[in-house]
Formats: sequence, C-alpha cells, structure tokens
Amino acid sequence: MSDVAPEIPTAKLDLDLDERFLADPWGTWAELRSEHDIFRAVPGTPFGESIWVCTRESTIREAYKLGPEYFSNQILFPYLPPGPRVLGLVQMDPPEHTALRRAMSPLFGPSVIDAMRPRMHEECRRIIGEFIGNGECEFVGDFAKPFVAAVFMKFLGVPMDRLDDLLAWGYDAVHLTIEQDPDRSRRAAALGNIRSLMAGLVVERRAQPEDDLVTAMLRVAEQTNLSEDDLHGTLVLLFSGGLDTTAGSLSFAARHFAENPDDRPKATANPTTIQNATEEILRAFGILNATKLVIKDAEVGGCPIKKGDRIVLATSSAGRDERVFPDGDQIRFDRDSYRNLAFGLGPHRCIGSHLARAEIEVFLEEWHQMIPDYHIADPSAIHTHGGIVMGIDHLPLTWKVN
Amino acid sequence: MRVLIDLQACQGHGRCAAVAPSLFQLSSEGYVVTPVIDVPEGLEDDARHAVANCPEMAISIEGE
Repeated sequence: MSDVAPEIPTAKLDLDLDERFLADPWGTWAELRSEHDIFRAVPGTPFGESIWVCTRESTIREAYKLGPEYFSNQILFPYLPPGPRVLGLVQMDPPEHTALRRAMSPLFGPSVIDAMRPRMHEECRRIIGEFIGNGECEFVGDFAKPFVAAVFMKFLGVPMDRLDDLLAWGYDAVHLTIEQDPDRSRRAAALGNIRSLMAGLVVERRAQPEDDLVTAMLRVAEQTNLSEDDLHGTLVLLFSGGLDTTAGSLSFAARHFAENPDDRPKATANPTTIQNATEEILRAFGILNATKLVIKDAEVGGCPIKKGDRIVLATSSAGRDERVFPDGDQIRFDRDSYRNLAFGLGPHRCIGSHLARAEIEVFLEEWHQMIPDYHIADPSAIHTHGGIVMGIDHLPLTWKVN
Repeated sequence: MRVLIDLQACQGHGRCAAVAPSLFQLSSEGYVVTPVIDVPEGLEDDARHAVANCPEMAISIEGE
C-alpha cells in the first residue's frame, strides 16, 4: 500500500465475504460511519482498482449530484469485471437511459400498484395458509420468495410452473460470491437461463399479446427504438430485481418482529401505522449498496476518486446516519414521514418502489392477522448474504398451532 | 399555502402522488408537471407530508 498517501481514509470491508458485516451489517456500518464519511475499502476489486464506500447520506447525495458524467451504471457489482451489457435499463446511462426509463415508469406507478392490492392480499393469505398448520416455516423459502414471486411473476407474465428453478436463477444471477462461484460460470448460466426464458416470452407475446409487463415492454421497445438485446436484458433485470429485493426486506422485517413481539401491535394497529412501519423497515433495514463505475476523476468527501475505480453508495448505511436520524438505531412506528434512500436516488432509483412498499404493507397486515405470535426457532441457523442487495437466506420461525 | 416543485430535480419517483394524491397529479410518464400548486385549505398537512417524502428534495413550501 506504499502508493497510497497516508491521508486517504481506508478501512477493511468486503461486502460479499466479511463475516462481521454479514452477521450485523448495520452495526458494522455504525462503526465505519463513526470513522469515515467515505473510505477506500480493502480489499479493492480483484483487478486492482479502488472501491470507495460512501457511508453518510451527505456523501451519497454529493456523489449522486455529480451524476452520470462521473459515475456510470455499466458495472453494478464491485467485484466483477467490465463486460457486455446484460441487464438493459439499469446498466444504461443518460441520455440513452432517460427515454427508456420515462417510458417504463408509468408501468409501475402508484395507481397501477394499488389496483394489484386485492390480489396481493389473496396470494399472501394463500401462501401462509399452506404452512400455518405446521407451526413452523423457513420464512425466506416458504413465504418471502413464494409471495413476492406470486405477485410479481404474474404481473411480469412469467409462468409459475418452474418456481424453484426461477428462484434459483434469480439468486445465482445476483448473490453468488467469488468463493461460491470462482469463475463466475454459475452466474453466467443463471443469467443465460433467465434471458432464454424472457426471449421465449417475447416471441409468444408478439404473437399473442397478454395483459402483462412483457407485452407492455413490447410497446415500450417500439416507442423507444430499444434493441432486441436490451429488451431481453431489461426483462432479465425486472425478473431478478422484482424477486429478491423485496424478499430481502421482508426477511429482515420478519426477523425484527420475531425478536420484538411488542412492536407487532404498534406496527399493525391501523393503515397509517402499517405505512409508517413499512417506511421504518425500509429506513432501518436498508438493503441496497448501489455500486457504480467511475468514468471521470472526481472528488467526493474530499477523497480523490479515479477513473476506473468503483464507488459504493451505501444507502443501507444512510438510513442509520446519526446526522439525519439521531436515534436511528431505534425502530419506531410513530415517526412522522421522512425521506429515506432505501430505493436509491436519482434517475436509477428503484422503479418498483411502489410495488415493494405495497408488498411489505400486505405482509405486515396479513401475517400478523394469521400468525400473531411467533418466534425464531434457532437464531444460530440464520444465514444472510451481503453484496449490492443484502438479504437473509434462511430464517426458521415457529408458532403454536391450536 | 403554495407548494413549489423543482421540475429539473423531479425524477418521477411518484412518492408525492402516493402520499398526497389529491395535490399531485403526474404526467403520463410519471412526473410532476406544474411548478407551483396552490394548496386548498385543509390539505396543508398533505403538502408537508409530500415535502418530507420526496427523495430528491424537489418539493418545498413557498416561504419556508
């Protein structure tokens, strides 16, 4: 590290592999924030570039303000090399990104999502009904993923008959670490499988339009002159983005309420407390560590960021930023509304935020009506993953059956 | 009370229309279209709610 000037703030952090970070991401962020608003992470990329991590809302906003002239979305993962664009919309930069995003946003608008709520409630009750009599479940695999998949795959237009395959591909496309997938072949295979599925649906919907997102995207593609390759890539993005981001948030929420029974009635008292609780979950259990490629030398928080580096805008940390939320480690459902950066910021902010909020609200309401009292069966069995979208892989819950 | 919207800063997240639908109408592309909104009496709290919720800090109350 002789090439690094001593004043460069540096700290150990591997978003994928650090045991301490995986076990307690928000505790780790608190320690890192107390030292640095932004720091150079060790290790950097496997290719020798620096990874800069913004821990404070102010440094994250500062970076977002510099915008796509400095920070490109073409690389989304801190530890992956540059490669061809495989995820359409999310890997585009303005101006190319702008037209497509504008055409797609209304497909996910508040009124579209509100119209889906009755079906979300039905799916939620149906899925809980499948295991409620057992007195136990593995929350992530038995509830969070099937629930989110049932809501989103129908919306997207993907048949559910191969749900286990779909979920495995969705996981492998985003979450495999270098230890699990050293040559990145499993990730490539998963992305290839999802892409083939989407390409097949595109052919089917061209012949026979349906009331689903794949069909809507055919119209968007026509309006925006989107290439076939980027149409498929954008559908792959929707597939993986729609599945396990919300499943991650639901799992952290379930862990919190399993550990804090007194919070359940406070959160679920009425529609307003359910909405406030959803915001509080999004703020306190942020899962996003949005990563961008630096394409022009920049300065953020006084640090010299070089072209070729990566920058991680850790909005998962910003939700606990003491300068914005003085009692941020307290989970409270009587807070007034506030902005939080759980879905990111700027043109690439999550397009599915209204859907995600609705899914969390429906979960809070239905779960606690059907299973008001539950706890974690074995805390030592909980597994989490880190990376750019954090989540829980295994969360065993139990409850009494009458 | 009047609400001011920085249309350049608006990124079309639609949070305002979700929390205060009676005040904020979105374009077909999901963006706020008018830079100034007169807040009818009784909807002041809705307006403040929208200000507090906009991730881009694009909404403000005139004079505040």
